[in-house]
Amino acid sequence: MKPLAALFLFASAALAGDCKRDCTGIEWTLPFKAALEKAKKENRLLLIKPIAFGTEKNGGW
Amino acid sequence: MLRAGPFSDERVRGLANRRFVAFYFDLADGGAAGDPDARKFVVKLKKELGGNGVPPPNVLIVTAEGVLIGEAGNFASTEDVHSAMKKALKDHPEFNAESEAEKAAVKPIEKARIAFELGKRKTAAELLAKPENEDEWLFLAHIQRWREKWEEMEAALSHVKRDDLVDDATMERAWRPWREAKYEALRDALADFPAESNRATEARYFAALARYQLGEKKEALKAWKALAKTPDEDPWVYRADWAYMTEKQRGKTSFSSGDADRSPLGRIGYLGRENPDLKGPGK
Repeated sequence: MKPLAALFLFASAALAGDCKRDCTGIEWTLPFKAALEKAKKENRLLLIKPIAFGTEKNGGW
Repeated sequence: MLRAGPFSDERVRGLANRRFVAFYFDLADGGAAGDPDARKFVVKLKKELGGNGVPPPNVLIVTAEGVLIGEAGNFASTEDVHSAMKKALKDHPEFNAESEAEKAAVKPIEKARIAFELGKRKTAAELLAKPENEDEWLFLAHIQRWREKWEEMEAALSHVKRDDLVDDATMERAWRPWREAKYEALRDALADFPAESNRATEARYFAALARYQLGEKKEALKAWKALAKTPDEDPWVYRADWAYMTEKQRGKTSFSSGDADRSPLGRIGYLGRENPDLKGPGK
């Protein structure tokens, strides 16, 4: 485990909602309203990953 | 790190897709994946995520009504994330019911696939006791490989002879020398693996890993870098990027999103855990 490191982030100008989804194979449901509706309808738990280091238009996070 | 590690793992992926509604978002509303509704929902649960300079956020397992059921750390291992997911389902079986599609499954292969993705590998193997075609034999071999039942895996693969499945069989067989830390055998198993195969990124990842473990670090890093730069991302591309950066960022204590410091895949670096494969196959 590395010690927590300092982060220097250069702000992204990307708009909310246009982040490319990732290719892990996990079926992410975006936006949150859709995820919440799906969880209620299918009686499932939400698996949420909040990201604090910034997201970018090209899908980086 | 979570995306290259736990989220790219077949076990986490299978359970997430079967039993959870997965969602990610940027805590900054103006970020590319910003989502103010999500931020409000999460900050109610975790007030420390509401300010500036927040700690690395955990993976949260939450009901739709906003009750926090479980968590896994931002730097958690695949096993820890998987365990947190399984514990949440065990503690709250009301969220672990079969879906309508699962109830409708009839064929053994369908039932086996569901069991496998839910982490019930022994059950999956039992359900597929009598494979009816080569695809099913290959899937049975895949299940037995995860169970590390090597003789059973070989027995299943002996039925796989179709040209379009040969690469899959080779890749499944290559997992054994990896798990047994026989790196020369791993290297040899993946020599001349076809670049156009559907398993090519996986094979390239492990071929580089074999070279790394054999002391050919420079060649391994070159191979991982090239893999991480391929345009079609997948879990093995993510893992290659993580492996490359684990070596490259050793001793580093600060990260920058400036282009010069980025990973081959464009990541700003990997905080937390190192890619565990560099230390060997583990348990």
